[in-house]
Amino acid sequence: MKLQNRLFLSVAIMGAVALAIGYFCLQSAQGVFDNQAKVYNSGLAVYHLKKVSDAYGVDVTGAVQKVRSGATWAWEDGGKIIDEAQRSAEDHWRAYLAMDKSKDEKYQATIVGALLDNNKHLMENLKNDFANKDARDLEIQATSVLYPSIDPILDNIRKLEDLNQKIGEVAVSQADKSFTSSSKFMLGIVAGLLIFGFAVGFLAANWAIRPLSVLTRDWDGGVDQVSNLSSQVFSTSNQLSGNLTNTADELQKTGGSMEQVLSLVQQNNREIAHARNVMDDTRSALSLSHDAAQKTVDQVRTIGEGADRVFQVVKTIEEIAFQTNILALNAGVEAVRAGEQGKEFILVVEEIRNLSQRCSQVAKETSKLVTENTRLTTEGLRLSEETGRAVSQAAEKAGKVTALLSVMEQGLEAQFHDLREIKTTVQNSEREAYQNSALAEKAGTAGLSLSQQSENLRRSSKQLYRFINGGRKESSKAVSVPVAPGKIPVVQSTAPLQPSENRTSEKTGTDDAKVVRMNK
Amino acid sequence: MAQTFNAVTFRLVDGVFALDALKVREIVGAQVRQTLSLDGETKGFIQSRGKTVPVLDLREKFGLAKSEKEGPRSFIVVHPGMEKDRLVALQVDAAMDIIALPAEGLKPVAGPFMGIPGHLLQAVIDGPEGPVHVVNIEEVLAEGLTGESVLVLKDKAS
Repeated sequence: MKLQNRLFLSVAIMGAVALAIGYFCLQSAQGVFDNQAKVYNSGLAVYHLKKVSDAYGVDVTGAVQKVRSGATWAWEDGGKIIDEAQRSAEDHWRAYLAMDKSKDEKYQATIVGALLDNNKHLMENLKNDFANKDARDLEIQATSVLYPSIDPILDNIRKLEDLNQKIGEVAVSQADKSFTSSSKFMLGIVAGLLIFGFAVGFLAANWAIRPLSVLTRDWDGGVDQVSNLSSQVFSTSNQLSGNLTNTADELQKTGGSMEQVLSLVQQNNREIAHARNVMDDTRSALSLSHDAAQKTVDQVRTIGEGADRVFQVVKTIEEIAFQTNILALNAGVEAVRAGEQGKEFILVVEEIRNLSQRCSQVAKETSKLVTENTRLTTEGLRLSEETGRAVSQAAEKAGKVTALLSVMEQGLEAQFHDLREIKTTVQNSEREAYQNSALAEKAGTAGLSLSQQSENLRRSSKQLYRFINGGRKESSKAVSVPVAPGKIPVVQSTAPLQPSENRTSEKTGTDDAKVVRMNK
Repeated sequence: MAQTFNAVTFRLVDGVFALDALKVREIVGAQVRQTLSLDGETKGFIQSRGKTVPVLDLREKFGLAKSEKEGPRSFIVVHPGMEKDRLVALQVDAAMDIIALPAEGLKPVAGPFMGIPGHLLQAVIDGPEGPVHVVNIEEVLAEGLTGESVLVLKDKAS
């Protein structure tokens, strides 16, 4: 059954019992009060009747008697006295008539009322007599009217007094009886209430209070855990906020570095484009150089061919000189064979031989020159061809370099776009890091608030616990919660967390906590 | 009056040699027509005044290194002994001159010159360009030269 239903049932039972008791008590009290009222009424009635009786029996008769006894000074007061007595009697009689009466009283009061009405004329006559100081009439009135009329009034009033006296006595007796029975009943009720109260208290203690006590105890433990967890949340959030702020700062620096890198990449791209243009110009120049070298090679080759022809001519000249020398030698041989007749001819032969030797010498020198020229030409041709090949290779390599530079340019362009995207991503990450840092700070603030609220809750729970368990003061120390390995240690203190403090965490041998920046 | 004899000088490698001019019929500058031979000494034939003359390489005869020269060579056509119809063309590096050598200047060859056996050289004399060794043509031609032993003639297109 739910606690509220139990409490409701308990209260309902108690309420019903209380209503019943109250009803019976009221009934008893009502009886007593009624009897007491009857006693009071009867007393009051007797009082009023007494007053009426005294007004006629004492005041009126007294005033008349004084005058009859010769007190002349009573004439003046007599009329007042009778007037006042009459007024008083009428007032008290009216008051009496206004009261509740029994049946017998009503009958008797009717009699008395009639007598009092009949007595009014008498009163008037008396007042006149007093006013006129008519002693004689007064005497007549007194002896023949007053006394005979007042005596029945007094007798009937006395009867009324007796009736009321009896009523009062009966009421008193009944009130005593009611009070006695009510007292006994109240005692019984009180005893029953005590027993019932113990039972209800026992039931309430078992049904509501004990579970509530257990609940508050558990609640207290839970509040402690919440307080510790909120402290952890606070510490963790602050640390997270600090870390995120550091991350955001680092991302900001990275963004700045990325900007520099982008600038460098752009500059490199421009330089590469410039280099590519230069390489294109170089390739064009090399191509022209290759054409010039090729023309040079052709020219040199042509020169070489001319030199070959010269060489052939020289060779022919050499051969002619050789043959001429041979011819001269043969002529010399024939001259020797001719003996004396050939001596003269030998001189001619000598001259011919000299000439042929000179021719041969010149041919040899020319051949040397041509050979040298040919060698130089060949060398020049070789150099020209080498130059042409080198220029061609250089042009080819320049073309490859240009192609590589183009590829590099495209790569740098793509790299620039990628870096720009990275920079945008870094900026977005920086913004998100700052936002997350702010959220972590808010979470820390919420944790702080939660810690404070849990502390308030703890105090309330302790108060409730004390209220339920009878005022035993609980320890004001915070319940130590074992810290799991790897968790951030909890600041153990009795005071709630304050936002303005720079909090540091105690070393527990697991993690070192950082000083959390509360304010950026 | 001193006796002199005229000699035709020629060069072989670095040495200067001489032949009796009276035994020289002609000096020819021609291309050798290669041919096979049986005796190993005959290199080929040349034409001299309408006759086909066998060639004898004196470098090879004297045991000297072969000549690397290409093209027309110098040949001294001689007729050994008294048989003027039997001609031999001696292949030399170059025919140089015809000089008159004094007879009293001739000296006997002391020993091999440039590795040439002494009996192939007749004498030596000081010339203007150094010692001139006179070749004993009879001895040179007496060793193994048999022009009639050449059986096949082949022309090599130059």
